[in-house]
Amino acid sequence: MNILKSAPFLASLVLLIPPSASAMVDEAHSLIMEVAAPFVEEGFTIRADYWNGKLETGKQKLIRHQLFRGNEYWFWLATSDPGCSLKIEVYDAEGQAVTIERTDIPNCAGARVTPTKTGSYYILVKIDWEEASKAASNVGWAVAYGYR
Amino acid sequence: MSIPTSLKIGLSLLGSLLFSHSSLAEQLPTKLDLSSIPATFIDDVIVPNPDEVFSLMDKLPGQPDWSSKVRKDFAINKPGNRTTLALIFGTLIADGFVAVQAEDTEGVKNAGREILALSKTLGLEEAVVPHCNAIISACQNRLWDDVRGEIDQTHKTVKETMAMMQDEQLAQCVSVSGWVRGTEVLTGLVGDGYSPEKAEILHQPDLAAHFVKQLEAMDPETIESPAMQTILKGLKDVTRLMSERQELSAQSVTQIHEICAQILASIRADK
Repeated sequence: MNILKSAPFLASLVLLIPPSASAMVDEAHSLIMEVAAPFVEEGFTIRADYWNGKLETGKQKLIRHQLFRGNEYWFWLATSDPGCSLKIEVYDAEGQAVTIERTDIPNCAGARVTPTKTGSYYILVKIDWEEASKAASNVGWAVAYGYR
Repeated sequence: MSIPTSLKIGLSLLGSLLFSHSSLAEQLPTKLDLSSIPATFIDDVIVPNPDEVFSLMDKLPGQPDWSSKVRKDFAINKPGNRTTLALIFGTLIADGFVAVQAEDTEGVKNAGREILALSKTLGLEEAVVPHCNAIISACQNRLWDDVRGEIDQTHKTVKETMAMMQDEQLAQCVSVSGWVRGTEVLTGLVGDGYSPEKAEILHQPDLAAHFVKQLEAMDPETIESPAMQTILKGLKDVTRLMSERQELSAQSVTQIHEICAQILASIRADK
């Protein structure tokens, strides 16, 4: 997957986003769709549905989701708030991390998973300010996924 | 030859843009104690779309006979009750995916026409018409991935529009019945040529349990209807059967198929 080809373009897009304190979660989803575009060319289907909301920096959210052995998945976490570091990890039903590849570009982090069993998996997301001095605040986020 | 300073800075900046967060990702634990998770759960459940599940059948040995599962008879009883209409709507979304899997242009168009007709009755016409037009156009050009994407988008639009109309329960009905119709088709195909690998696709007990929980939380006047009671009881049985083991037995697959068929019959017969 040649995500790096589009990464400079995506990075420039991110830099163009005004540093607004009130992040819009739809902007986060739009960023994911930009990041996911090259994956579609590789045969991934990106789901129209996605998770979103506001998350206090430093706190974690957990999503439970059904995955199928035989499919390959990419999950992406994004925020439109600049200056955040994003973390995403996928766990199996025993709580074991199963991410086998990552992408990390400004404001978007991705995790690739190839499930060894069909069933429920857990996606843990966390957003921090890169500058430790910044106080905790709610930032808009979105998680979307693609499969093939 | 030395590298110009400006180029070094540029490369450094680009590198930091691309990889600045790669080390931070390691800070999440590699093992999570699911009994005491230091995180809040997201309540919103995204149900895998039928294509996500159906495509697995094509990856396993043995060619599934999708054509035999395409719905031909759309002589639907048109009930006045919005809950039943929403349940029928969900089955039609799944029917669209089945027809796409079979690459059956007429089957997709038939499902699309029924979706459009029901959307008018449900007051969703404005939201659904652009999707239906896109589905028909992509279908005529046999752009099956585009058709899949548009059906998925239709489902999302319908759920969002229902939520805006304060009809969250109807949106849930669409998801439940779509999953039941998809499971009926899947169990039929797995039963046609059983293998443990195929049967594992049906290991979805948490999803079935999620639907039970949603139905149980509905208004009493909604959940007390005969059709909803059939769905609720059926889904509880399906949850139990799907929980039994990772790779369901051939007998369990048959039982789930019969339960789903019974649920769908009760939806279609409801007034």
